[in-house]
Amino acid sequence: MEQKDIIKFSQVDFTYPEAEQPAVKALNLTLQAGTWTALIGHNGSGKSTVSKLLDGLLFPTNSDSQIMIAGLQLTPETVWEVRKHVGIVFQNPDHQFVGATVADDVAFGLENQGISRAEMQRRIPAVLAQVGMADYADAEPNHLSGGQKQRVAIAGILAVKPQIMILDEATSMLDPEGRKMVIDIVKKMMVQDHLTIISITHDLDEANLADQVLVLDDGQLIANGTPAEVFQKADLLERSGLALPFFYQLKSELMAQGINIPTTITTETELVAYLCQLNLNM
Amino acid sequence: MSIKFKHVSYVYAPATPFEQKGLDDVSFELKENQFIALIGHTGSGKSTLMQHFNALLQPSSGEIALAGHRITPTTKQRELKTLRQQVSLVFQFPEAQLFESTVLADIAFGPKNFGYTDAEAKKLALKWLEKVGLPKSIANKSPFELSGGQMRRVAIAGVMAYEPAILCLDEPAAGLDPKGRRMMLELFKAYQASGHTVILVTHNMDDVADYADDVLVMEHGRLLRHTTPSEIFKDRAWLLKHGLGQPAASEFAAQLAENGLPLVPQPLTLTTLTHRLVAHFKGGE
Repeated sequence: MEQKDIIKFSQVDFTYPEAEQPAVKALNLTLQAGTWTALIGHNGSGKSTVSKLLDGLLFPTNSDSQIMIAGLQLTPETVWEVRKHVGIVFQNPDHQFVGATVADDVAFGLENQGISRAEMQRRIPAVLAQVGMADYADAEPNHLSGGQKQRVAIAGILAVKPQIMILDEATSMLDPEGRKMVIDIVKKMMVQDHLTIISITHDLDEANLADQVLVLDDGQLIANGTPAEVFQKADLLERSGLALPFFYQLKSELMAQGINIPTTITTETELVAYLCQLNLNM
Repeated sequence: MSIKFKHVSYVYAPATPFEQKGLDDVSFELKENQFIALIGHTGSGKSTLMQHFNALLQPSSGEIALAGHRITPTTKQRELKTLRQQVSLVFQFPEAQLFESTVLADIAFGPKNFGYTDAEAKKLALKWLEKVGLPKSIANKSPFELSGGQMRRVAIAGVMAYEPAILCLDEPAAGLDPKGRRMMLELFKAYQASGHTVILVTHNMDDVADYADDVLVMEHGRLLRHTTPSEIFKDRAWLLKHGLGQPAASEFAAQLAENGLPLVPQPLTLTTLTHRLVAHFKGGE
């Protein structure tokens, strides 16, 4: 598959009015189209500021910076064009449901973009089917679970066909079943529609599913790489108020207590197989 | 004394087309001063049940006895003020309920409301500001200048400052980073250990395994089970059938068992999982 840079931050600074410290400092990032990036960091590390910079809700406060999104330089002039390419699913399912019914809610985004009625009637059932909510087109939001509302929010975004989808703690209020379903749907959409996914999360097991993990602290990128690369840096993450995903915690505990785990083992399934083999050899 | 629910049912919008059973014949008895986890998936009746602990909702039928009060369908709200002081509910995203001009005033509001003098309330507010892990330097700041995680702590300090005998919390750590989450749960555990009852509504099975003495499982408004974490997490098929997960350590142990390496008894936490594995491989079992 063609891999092009869809998001590029060059030397981005952002300081809130009257703040003493910048919220984001000299930030450089590159995200490839069609990949999943997890953005992690403690509360107040600058994650939300980055997501606002991505969507042009905020603009860098230094003039020598540049943000490129889907081939466009993000400026106050291009922001409306850029936003057509970026969809955000927020944390609280109840804060983003605007329609009286599921179908109305999906239609809202399409109306905003001036899409014709005929096209809406074609797209709405299609996206609702994609997120497994086809049977609920006429349901009212108060009859839906949190996970179902988040799936409707995702359908609303898919309907306007963006290239980038940001999940801003989008699964943190869901039960385990709802969470898994949302993640599975987004993974499928990523491949099918060549979507670029940015997931802002505290769930490190969710971050472990990403192609790339970015760690922010004090507005600066302190680690960047595949999950396996980033989660090797246990001390750095600990100092930054984060923890390791379960698999890495278990691996390091076992190693600390004298059970040697080869470095080639990078997933939970491999660790299970390795330990069971070790057992047979006893 | 204990917390007793006897055949409690609750009906939303009775005698209308929207009538719906929120709780259906729920009975249980909890020992005081324990850490209780309340689990079940979205819509199972957890929140409805939680709101009965301090009579924000009163049973449509049945009876509740707790903190020296008896709550029946006919109990008058004015009889319940002391109950509200003894039993506190912290809803999801309590930071949305901050309103005072300074952090200290916000935390002191609860104690003042329940009859503490200004000086006492201020003293309690300072104590709890520190206990929830916030620096004293923010005491005179506006709560609205703080980060989301700090605002959450201010809101929770405001409830803990009048030291309710029973503290019920709905997903208090949602949206906090791992360190903040651990700190928050340790705070509740310490509160329970110092002689209070903590009831935690959560989707996080690791928290249930790490902290709870007892678990209540709700489904369709009914109490499905009331038992200990080790009992509840024993039966993986049962959990899956009811849309519930296992703690990460139990999940991992289940995969080991499927592949010929059963660990008995089943570990619930990372520490016990590691111990069992180390004992197995190094202990010459």
